[in-house]
Amino acid sequence: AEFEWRFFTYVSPSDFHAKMNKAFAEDITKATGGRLEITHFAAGELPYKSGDVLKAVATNQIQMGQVGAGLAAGDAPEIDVFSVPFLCTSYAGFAKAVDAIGDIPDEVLKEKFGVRVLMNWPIPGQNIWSASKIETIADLRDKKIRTWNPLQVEMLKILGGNPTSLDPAEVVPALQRGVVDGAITSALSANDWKAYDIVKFGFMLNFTMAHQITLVNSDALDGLPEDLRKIVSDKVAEWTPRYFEGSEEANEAALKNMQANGVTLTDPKPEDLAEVRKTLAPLWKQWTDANGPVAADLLQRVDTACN
Amino acid sequence: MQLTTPNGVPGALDRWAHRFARGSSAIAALLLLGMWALISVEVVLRYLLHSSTLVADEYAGYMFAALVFLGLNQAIHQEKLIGIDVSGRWAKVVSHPLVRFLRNLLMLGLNLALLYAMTLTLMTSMRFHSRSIHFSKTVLAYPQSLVVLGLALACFASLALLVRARSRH
Amino acid sequence: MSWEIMLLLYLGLLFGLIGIGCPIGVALGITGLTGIVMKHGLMLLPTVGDILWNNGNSFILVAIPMFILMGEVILQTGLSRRFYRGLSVLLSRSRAGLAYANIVGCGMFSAICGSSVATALTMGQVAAPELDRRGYDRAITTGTLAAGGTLGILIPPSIPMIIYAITVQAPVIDLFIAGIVPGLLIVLLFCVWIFIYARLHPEHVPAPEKTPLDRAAVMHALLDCLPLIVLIVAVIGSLYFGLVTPTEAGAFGSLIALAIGFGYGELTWANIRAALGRAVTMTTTVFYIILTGAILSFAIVDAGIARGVSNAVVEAGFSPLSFFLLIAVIYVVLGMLIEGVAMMLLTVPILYPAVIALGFDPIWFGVVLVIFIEIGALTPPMGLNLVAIQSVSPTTSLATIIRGAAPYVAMMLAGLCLLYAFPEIALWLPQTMK
Ligand code: NA
Ligand code: NA
Repeated sequence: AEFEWRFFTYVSPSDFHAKMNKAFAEDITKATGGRLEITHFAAGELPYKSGDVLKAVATNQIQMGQVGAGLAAGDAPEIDVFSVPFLCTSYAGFAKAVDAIGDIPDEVLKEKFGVRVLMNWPIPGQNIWSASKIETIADLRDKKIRTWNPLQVEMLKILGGNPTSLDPAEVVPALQRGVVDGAITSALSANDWKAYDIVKFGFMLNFTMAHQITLVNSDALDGLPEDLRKIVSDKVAEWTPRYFEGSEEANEAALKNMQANGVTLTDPKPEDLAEVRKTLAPLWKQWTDANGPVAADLLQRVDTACN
Repeated sequence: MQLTTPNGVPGALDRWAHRFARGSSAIAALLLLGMWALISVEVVLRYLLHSSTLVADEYAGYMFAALVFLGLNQAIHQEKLIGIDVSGRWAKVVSHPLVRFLRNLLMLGLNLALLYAMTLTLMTSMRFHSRSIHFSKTVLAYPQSLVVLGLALACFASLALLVRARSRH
Repeated sequence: MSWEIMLLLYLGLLFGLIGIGCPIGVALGITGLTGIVMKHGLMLLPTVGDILWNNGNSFILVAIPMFILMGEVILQTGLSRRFYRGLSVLLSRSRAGLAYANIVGCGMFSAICGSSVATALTMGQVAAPELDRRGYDRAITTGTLAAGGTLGILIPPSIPMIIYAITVQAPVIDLFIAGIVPGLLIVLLFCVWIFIYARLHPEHVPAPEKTPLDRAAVMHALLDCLPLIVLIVAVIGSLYFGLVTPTEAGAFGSLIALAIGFGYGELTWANIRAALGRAVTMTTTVFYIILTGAILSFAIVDAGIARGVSNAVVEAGFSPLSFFLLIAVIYVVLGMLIEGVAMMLLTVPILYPAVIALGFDPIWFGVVLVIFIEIGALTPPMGLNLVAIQSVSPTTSLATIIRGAAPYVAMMLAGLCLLYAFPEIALWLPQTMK
């Protein structure tokens, strides 16, 4: 091949996004008649962790990568707007919000990292899973809940729970033995961990959608001749809706399977939700204050488009 | 152990390697104690006070990385790195000064390469002002600097060993 | 270059470097770096830095130094001396009694420890000096300890099982339960070998005592065994009742061990310092190998060797039996070169579809894979339990340890054959408990 790219996904090869990325890479390779050959790698096949992907693409160790905005927040905190709790909580809202923020993430990442955004898409939202009943916001009081990022910690503190940090590999055993009362993760991860053997309640707050960004190294992209770049951008346009659909399908399948295994899913009451959005208003402000004008602009746009 | 030679250099290098090894392994021991204390505090907080340090797993990981690399120069200095011994006629070849010199040269080369690689990682973190995504939002360059320091000391200990090996015959 | 040529090159370089006496970590690191630089020049050196950082900075691995520390505290405060004094009295009338004690002790300790290296280290520190003192042959001492240590990942809790469960999306609890019976089976097989060996080579074990035990001696021996048993019960209890996670259990166990040592009046500042110092050296020397091994693992994946080997197997169209024999060969060979968890992460994604297509059970395969990882921990050059045991018995040559551990590899292979013939050994208990 004239051009050889390496494309890394930070999850296991059996996860739906790794499978989609692999198919996406193969489709581009085929469409370019093999002139641009993209080889896909999943977790374990290259030594990067989720937090390394942005830097690895920036330094051209890999040319393409999928990064979770929340997992790259250590490097680009200002674009991690979708991690703000209860700001945008549905697929439909996410789609509108992504249109509203337009090229802002692309500009930030291009400027700071020499990395371009090919695609913005969501993986399923964050919910609270527990062995004993947690079905209202008030139930969270004094519960030990495993959290994995600073915003979740702040959110739980405001809501009266006890945020606890645990390594991902220890979450399920910790839930089983009651080290913690509940854990925050997506239905997808909960189902992957077979948490339904232990977890019997899902509180479907969906309080953040996990914003995924498919990245490409700027020099690698610019190094392609015009015709190949056009093929890449056409393929991106063709595949973006598929990622949305794939994500939603995976989420529904996971939820269905959790229910089939005896997990009770509870949706929050609308008045509870309205209340919690009010309670968390200071947290939103805290986030924009900490992350500057770009963050403020993004939050404004997402809030308007999504809600 | 013969540490002095006519020009005095190997002796001096070895003495410094010895001092560094003592100092950094003392720090490594303190880090181990600190990890233990941190995890114990996390357990006590969670169980008795329904609270959490929120950083125990993250900081224990950093302390662990620092411990492993800061303890390395002591193991090299005392030639405690684990290898497979050979016996019989081949043992004579392996203990030949030239082979020993080559071995120590290879170790120095590897440790220099690891030092260089880890420095690149540190520089990337510094360039992008990377922080951890955990509650503490730790500046990654801080714990990574300790790893670089540990590898630098490991290189120094390897160099001292190389010179020691050369001066023995 | 094709992956076959790269494989030969890596093997040649690795064994060549070890042959001229390089430390194992140096050989692994240089081989890995050579492979990476040959393929990419200096481009991927930052990746090597990421490997060092990501593998060093891992909370799950923190369990290992914590359990080493617990072992050191047990050792320094004389708890181990008491335990072995008690056990040796109780077993004094059976030939090779302490060799059985090593296996059974490791089996017991495995119930509180998720890592085979940590199990080998803790029990090794406890037992190796005692067996030496009583005149056991070094090969039998170190062999039983290295092999017994591998039980740490088969008898739950188990770090590799957690990682496998996440990788293939199997229920980790089922996997844990599935490990119990095979774990006991392997304990039994190990003991059978000790029984045979002690009769083949009576000169390698001390002669059994002839005088019968009186009641006072038995009581005293039981009292000596008690503190360590209390410790094990405390650690298992703290896990069971949700006080600690598996990783925290080592730290918690150290705390209990310190308290017991304090109770016996054997806790001194000098003891604590010695425990910390030795724990640091052990952690460092073992992790130098884990980290450089991770570099070689990356080079092996990067050169397409892992994929090449696995694809060749999948494409050949095997029957279940021939496939099983083939993966046995692959895992035994890879297990010589790659650390167990890395080997699992490298191969499972590619082999797993074939495993399922051939009708194997995912839980069963997880147990089988863990036993292959155990075998890998006992086979040089990348044999973590061998080097762990050498670090607690520094005057024993690695060649002796390898020789001592070899029969237990054979016993585990026998155990695997039984598991293949009777998958219920693994699957019966989880199905029963549903
Ligand atoms: Na275990
Ligand atoms: Na091995």
